[in-house]
Amino acid sequence: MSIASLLLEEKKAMMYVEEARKRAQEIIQRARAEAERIMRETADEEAARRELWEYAERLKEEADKIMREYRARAERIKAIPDELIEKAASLIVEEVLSHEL
Amino acid sequence: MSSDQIEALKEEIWRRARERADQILREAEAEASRIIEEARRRVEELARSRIEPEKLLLRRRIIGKAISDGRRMIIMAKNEVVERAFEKAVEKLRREAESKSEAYVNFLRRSLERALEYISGPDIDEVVIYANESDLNLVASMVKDAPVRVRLEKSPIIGGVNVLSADGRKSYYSSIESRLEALKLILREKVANLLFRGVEGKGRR
Repeated sequence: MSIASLLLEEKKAMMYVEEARKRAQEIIQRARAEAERIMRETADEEAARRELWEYAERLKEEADKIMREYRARAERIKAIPDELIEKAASLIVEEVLSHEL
Repeated sequence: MSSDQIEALKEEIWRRARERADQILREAEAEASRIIEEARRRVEELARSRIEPEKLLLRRRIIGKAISDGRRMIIMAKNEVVERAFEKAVEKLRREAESKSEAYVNFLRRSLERALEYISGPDIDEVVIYANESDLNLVASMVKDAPVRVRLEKSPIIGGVNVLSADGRKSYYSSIESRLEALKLILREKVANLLFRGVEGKGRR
């Protein structure tokens, strides 16, 4: 063992660090490529149209649900008992004949 | 320098090299994550600025239409029920008039009193009273002491009277049909309050 061997070892270690730097560059380059891919996908009109179409489909389902709720309410209204209609008719008769209004 | 010392130095050289390499890789991973996160954030921003307004328009169009159609459906259902009540009321009024019930006769009398009070005057020589054929005798008996000359005419009304001055300048409508027509708006509201109070639950849009 000698100083020369130490210098050699130092050189190897520097190359090891240099190798890590290269790998780091590759990692960053891959990340940049991935970022560009993400951005390209967003710029893609087809993807935007697809997203809007999917959103519209969800809205249609929501609209169907709303309509079902309203339909059920309308049915409840139409199913008012005859006695109540009779009561309302009597009220009309009373008002028409009373001259109070 | 002993071989142990040299060995120790070598280990130190490699320990530092590994530490440095690890640090470089850790920083690179962190930078890569930052780059991708930044891209995603920009994508979201872009999407928000480009797609969100279109989504909002879609929502207004699709959901807005559903709500407005639904509300129309409710209004139509209510109108249908209110109309049923009015149809039933007309049947009842017809029966009241045909049977000459006490309420109907009182109504007829008050109608005539008000009509004559409104139409009579120094410039009125004669009034024409239109009534259902079945009421003519009853009306005649009610106006026998009228302060003005009276002519009776039959009319295809359910009941009540329509009274006009013979010269056509003054008129008073108090047939059942004209009362119904005149009161319909007010009555619709009263009837709706009576019919729909408590019919609809919570969670209305």
